[in-house]
Amino acid sequence: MSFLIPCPNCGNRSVYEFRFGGEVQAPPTSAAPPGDWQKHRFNRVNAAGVQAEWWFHRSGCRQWMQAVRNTVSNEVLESFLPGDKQE
Amino acid sequence: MKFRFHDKTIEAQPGDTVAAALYRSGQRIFSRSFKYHRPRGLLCVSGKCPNCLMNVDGIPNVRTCITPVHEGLRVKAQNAYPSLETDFLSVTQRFDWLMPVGWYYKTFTRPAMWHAVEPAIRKVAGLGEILPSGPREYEHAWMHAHTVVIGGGWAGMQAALAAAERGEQVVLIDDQVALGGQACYRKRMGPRPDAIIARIRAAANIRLLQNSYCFGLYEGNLLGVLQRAPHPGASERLIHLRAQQTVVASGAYEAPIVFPNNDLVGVMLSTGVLRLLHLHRVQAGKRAVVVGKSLQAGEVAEELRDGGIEIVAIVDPDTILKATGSSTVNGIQTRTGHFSCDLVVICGPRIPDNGFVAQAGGRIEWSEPQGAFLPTLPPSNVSAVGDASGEAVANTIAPLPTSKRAFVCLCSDVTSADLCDAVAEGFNHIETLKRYTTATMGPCQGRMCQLSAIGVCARETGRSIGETGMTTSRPPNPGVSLGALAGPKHHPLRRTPMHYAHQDLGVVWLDMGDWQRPRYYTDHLAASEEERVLLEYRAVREAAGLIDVSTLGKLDVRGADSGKLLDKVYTHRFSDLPPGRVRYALMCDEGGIILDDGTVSRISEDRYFVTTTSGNLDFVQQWLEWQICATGWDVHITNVTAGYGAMNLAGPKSRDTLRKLTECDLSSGSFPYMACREAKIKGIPAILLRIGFVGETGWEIHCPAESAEGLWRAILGAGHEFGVRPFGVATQRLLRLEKRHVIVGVDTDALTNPYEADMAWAVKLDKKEFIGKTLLAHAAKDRSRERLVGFVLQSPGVPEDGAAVVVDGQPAGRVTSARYSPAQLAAVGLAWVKTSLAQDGVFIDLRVNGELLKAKVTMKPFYDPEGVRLRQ
Amino acid sequence: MREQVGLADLSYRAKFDTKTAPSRPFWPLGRNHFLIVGEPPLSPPSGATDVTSVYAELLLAGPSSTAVLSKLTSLNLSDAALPNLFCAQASLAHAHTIFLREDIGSIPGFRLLISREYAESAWEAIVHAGHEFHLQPFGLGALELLRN
Repeated sequence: MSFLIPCPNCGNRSVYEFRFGGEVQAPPTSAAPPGDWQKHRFNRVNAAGVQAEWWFHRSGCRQWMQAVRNTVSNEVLESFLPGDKQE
Repeated sequence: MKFRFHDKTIEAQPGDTVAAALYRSGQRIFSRSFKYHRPRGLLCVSGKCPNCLMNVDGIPNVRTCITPVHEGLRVKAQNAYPSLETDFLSVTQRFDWLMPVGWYYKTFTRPAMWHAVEPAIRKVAGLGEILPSGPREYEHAWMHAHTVVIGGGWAGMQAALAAAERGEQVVLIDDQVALGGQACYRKRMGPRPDAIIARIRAAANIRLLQNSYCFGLYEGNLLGVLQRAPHPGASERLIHLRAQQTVVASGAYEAPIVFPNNDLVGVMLSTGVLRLLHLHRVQAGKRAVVVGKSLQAGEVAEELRDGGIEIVAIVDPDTILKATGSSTVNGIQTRTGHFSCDLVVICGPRIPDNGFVAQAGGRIEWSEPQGAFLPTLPPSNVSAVGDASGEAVANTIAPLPTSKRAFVCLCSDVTSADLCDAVAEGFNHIETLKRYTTATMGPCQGRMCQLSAIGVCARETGRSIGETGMTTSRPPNPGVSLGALAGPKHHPLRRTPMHYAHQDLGVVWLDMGDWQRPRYYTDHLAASEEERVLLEYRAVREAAGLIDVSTLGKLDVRGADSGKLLDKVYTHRFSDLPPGRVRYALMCDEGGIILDDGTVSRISEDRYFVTTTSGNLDFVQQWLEWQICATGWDVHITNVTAGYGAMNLAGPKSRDTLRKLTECDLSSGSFPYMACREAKIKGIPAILLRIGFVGETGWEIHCPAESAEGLWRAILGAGHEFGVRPFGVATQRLLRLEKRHVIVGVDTDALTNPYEADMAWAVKLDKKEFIGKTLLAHAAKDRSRERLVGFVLQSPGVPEDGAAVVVDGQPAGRVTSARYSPAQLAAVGLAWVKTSLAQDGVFIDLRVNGELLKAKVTMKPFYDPEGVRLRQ
Repeated sequence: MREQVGLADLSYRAKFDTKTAPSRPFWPLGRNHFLIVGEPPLSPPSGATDVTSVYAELLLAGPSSTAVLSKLTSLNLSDAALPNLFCAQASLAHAHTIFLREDIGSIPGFRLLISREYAESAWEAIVHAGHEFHLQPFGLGALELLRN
């Protein structure tokens, strides 16, 4: 594994500089039953294909970002800071 | 220039490689083969074959034919005893019938048999020996380039110049003695490419890496490059080279032709003979037989004749019966007769070196018209040029041996007979054949043998070459030493601002991650660790002690939504914390599992000061940033861990000590337990937190890092008259255990929730929303699991951390921390037990030194259970 | 330093970390994250956190400085990737570092902000890596001389 992730702050950097934060998933509401929270904590889609993921640029700007990655080819199609996307 | 070969001194000429200088001095045998210890001499002279591997300056398996000589080198042969010329183990070839292909799989079928022979086999197996000869420096470096060209031959140089003219930053990697590839030693290529080499050297945007080789092309166009002897202080440098575009110009290499005795010393590849002649001005022999098809062989013969070597005959490979000679070749036997000679020049097939294209994800497929495996569909950022691309390459499979015993694989002595036997035994797929026979798995990584092995496999299975296919090319190829991969010895150290004050006192260090912390001090005349810890313990309980807690994570939290964020991530409430107050903070994940603990102090209306455990700072900061990122709240977190030195002064005399240094009112009336103040101590601005991890009146003092050593010394000076002394982590661990304070990650694990850890008081389920609330509310009702309890051992002895709790002869839990408590005059500790046992006064058994000892469960602190001393 | 490379300790300089773009010169560390570095005394902009004591500041200057750093960091330090007066963040000798490119005239210079507790170990690593380039430590006097 040595693919590059385009960091919105730092540019193309090696995946080794990042911490993987898992799939982007909306958490259940606070009123949701415990079972939903258990699923949220332990179940993963684990897509063979394109998925949105959290990444933290540990050895760079030290910010969280989201990246859209093809898990088969490790091609990162897009990356952005969540704040930028909402605007 | 001179260098040492065993106890001989060898003269070398400028530009010589180790092998060329040895050859000129008369050395003919360069190594002994892996299995049968057959003598082997130079073959390829280009770093592709296993024949010239030697130990150079203590490094085994060095390819001496591409290693430049420098003054004072020490070279030794390997895999030969007592010498290259006389190797006792060459007797093994007489017993080759005992060692057929896969013999170790067939022979050592029972563990007892393997154990009986293992020591002997370990002694003779393997290649090369690592000699403990002084420290060697390995370096790492990182480089970035637009275009990287692998191979400094004609095509590679052209590609590099073209990219440079487009204005790109270029790196050109070459592993050979001289740039120019075959243009330097083949007359038919025209004059030597001196002009183009000069242009390369002059180009400002071409970085030339000579005496270096690429060992792998990885994802994202990352190249692993090994540079030999980058400067006199280092033996190897591993370069992580990131390219946007990679050009594979690794050329083609010549492979041997397989016939009986084809491995005799003096049987050499034509390119090897020409390299010796033109690059090093060394004649490989006096009288040569050239083996090859008419046109190619004729060209070579003419060049050798020009170089002063007598050509005895040109022989068609199809007519060869065998080479003759015992260890060095003395002739060739063909169907038409015997030709005496001292050199056999093999004009073998030229094979495109395209493994890097395969590593990059390209496909390598058999081209029937060209008779070669050629790269197809390389990814867009990788291309192959020149011979590596397969242009002008034809018929890469040499004529196959009709006789059964001829060496196909020189690295591990696999013969054509071995390959036939393996196929007959059912290993008829090229990948299983490779693994069973180990052909293509040696130092040459298949360069010398792969096509011949594929040919034999195809012939024996009746399949075509295309159907037989090729084995997968994987990095590293060529091999790379573990030392180079491991890199330099630098290990980062984190030192607290008081590091040298501790050192001056005399200290035994404790490594905690990268941090160095005092374990205990050695400034007094105690003999053992126990005595020293006890002395420090008594100082804290009876006078006062000072401990360096700078390693605590410290976060400065500001912004309108700070309180909201802290309410969300911690189980306690912080938005209503008044300025000047401190609160214990427990952090859980969505599952209600304890992640970390610390304190939150509200310094002013808009500023919180958060501490975390030493080891979890990065995690906690990332956790907080993540929440901010996901919610978009207005919070600014700054990691100020390094900016503050921190120390904890604790004990009955701490107020008297501190009062000498500050005007701040320290009385419990105006500075109560769990309060915080900003104040000057000896003129140094500090944040004081009245908290007590060790269970005594005390202050945690944070001050700017550059002033911390001064403040540390001032407090010790002021406290001297009261018996105040420094204490280390070992003492702190004992003091906190007496107070039953939990250390997250020591007493808790990845499944612990606050209810099980007996910390329900820290969870505010009436808070509207916080991380983990749903599952914590669920856990609050569920009492079926384990509980963390305190225990007092009822007899002498101290259980080890991790000791078993036993109830009715069954394991019923485990001890997480235990120490001898001077307050209880017995061992105390924390243990996980079933919830039913978690009651004051219940007796459990602990396994201590193999014996079961009684212990009494308690849910209260072992020292000052009501916390009176803390609040004094 | 003019010919090879030199290393100085400039940790005394003032540093402030802020989330709002200040009105004076700053180094951009990320979206809504800025750093102000300057000679003390320097007053903090409102809302900023004083990180003077958090970071040690080392100055590596000289023609070989890029070559020394490329032995310790994977960051691309070429003139194209990190031109004068640009900044970047990466690991240097296994410690997180803020690289501020600030040339002294025509001499390449890198101000390295390293978390204080790692600074001594980073200094040792830089000196070791710079051995082959004859790296010399230098003081403020030499820096003055170089500037004039």
